[in-house]
Amino acid sequence: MKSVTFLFILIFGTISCTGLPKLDPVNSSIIPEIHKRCSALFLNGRWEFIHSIEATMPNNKKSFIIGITVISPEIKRVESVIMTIEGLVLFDACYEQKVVINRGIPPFDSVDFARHLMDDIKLMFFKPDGQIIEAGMLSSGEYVCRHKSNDGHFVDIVTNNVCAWEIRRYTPSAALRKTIKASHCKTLPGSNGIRIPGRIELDDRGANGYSLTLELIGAKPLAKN
Amino acid sequence: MKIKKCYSSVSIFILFIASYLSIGWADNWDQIKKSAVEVNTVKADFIQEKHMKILTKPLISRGVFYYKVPKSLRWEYISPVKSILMMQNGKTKRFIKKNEGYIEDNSANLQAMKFVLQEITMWLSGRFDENPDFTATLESGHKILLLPKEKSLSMMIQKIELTLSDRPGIIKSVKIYESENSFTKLVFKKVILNDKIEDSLFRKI
Repeated sequence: MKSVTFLFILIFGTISCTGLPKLDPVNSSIIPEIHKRCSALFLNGRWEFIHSIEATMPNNKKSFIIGITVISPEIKRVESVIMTIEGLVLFDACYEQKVVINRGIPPFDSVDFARHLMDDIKLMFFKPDGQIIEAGMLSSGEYVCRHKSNDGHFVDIVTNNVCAWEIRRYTPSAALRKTIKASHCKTLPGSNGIRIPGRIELDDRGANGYSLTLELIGAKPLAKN
Repeated sequence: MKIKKCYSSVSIFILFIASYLSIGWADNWDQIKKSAVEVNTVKADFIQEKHMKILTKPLISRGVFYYKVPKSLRWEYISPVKSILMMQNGKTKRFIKKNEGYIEDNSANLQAMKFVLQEITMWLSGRFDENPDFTATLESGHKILLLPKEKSLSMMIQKIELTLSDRPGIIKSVKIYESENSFTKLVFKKVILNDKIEDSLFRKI
């Protein structure tokens, strides 16, 4: 029995470990440049974003909403409003160490929904928690910074340039759980000439997987609170 | 001097008559209903302003609005997101323009919008005082104030302010308050009454 369990752990462990893609080593002189590129994806200071969002749920049903997000990366604060295109606010919440729901119309009123949404926003806009444990190159030629968070999750930041990047989040057992792809960069009036992804696609591969496509309507830097 | 005095008396008289005419239709519920009975279709451009604490300036949307008695509505947004919300025979549908064409929205929030659309058809038929969900009060300045009767509804909508136009049967603007800091203002422009509108406009994209 013990040997079966050992075999199971061995097989399971092997399968799990194959989840993290192997990074090809790079010349140590370019590692600071890779770190810089990964870091450059994330905006500094307080920003306001307005997106139109297409949500595809597990039953393949589509939902269209408008999302307004204010991020303050330095203090890890997120304010989020979701409303219908006609302007009816469905969800209004804030995150700063904990989630506070100011308004929620069913099915947008659950704490679980709010927590997941805040996690998605943090993954999109904030530098990952934890240290960079590895930096290198994928076989496709893209540079990668690999982070390991305190809870054991891995986050890969995959970048070609500032405007075509991907964030991949893996479980502690190295299973790919979430991907975020940014593209179609734009410089909008009022965005201080900074190029902002015009499209962000999030794909959650969990048991109740869903996908979100965010199209940028507006972005602007804000004064600090 | 005499001419000036006469001119000024005429102005006051015209102003008085004009204000009497314009107030007349919005003076009491019966007058409002009477004016609304004469409206069979409405086509109007609209500008929507979303005011919220989180926004540094209001989010502006534009579109075209169609109504046909008894309960057909088409609420079409041109910017910033192209979309069409339609209601006919109690059925509500929303379509969003994507690169591949219009896609139907299957979201649960459509139920909340259905409620809003039903309210709008009730306003357009002038039946403010027969509303089971809101208590209506006629206020000065051609305004109608709607307050939710149930607490559950007031959690969603705090109050609605409608401003009636000087032209009988026309709503000039609507302000929907979700809270003191969050409201949607709709201003209707280029309003055309009783023009021919095909039924298919409320069924097809």
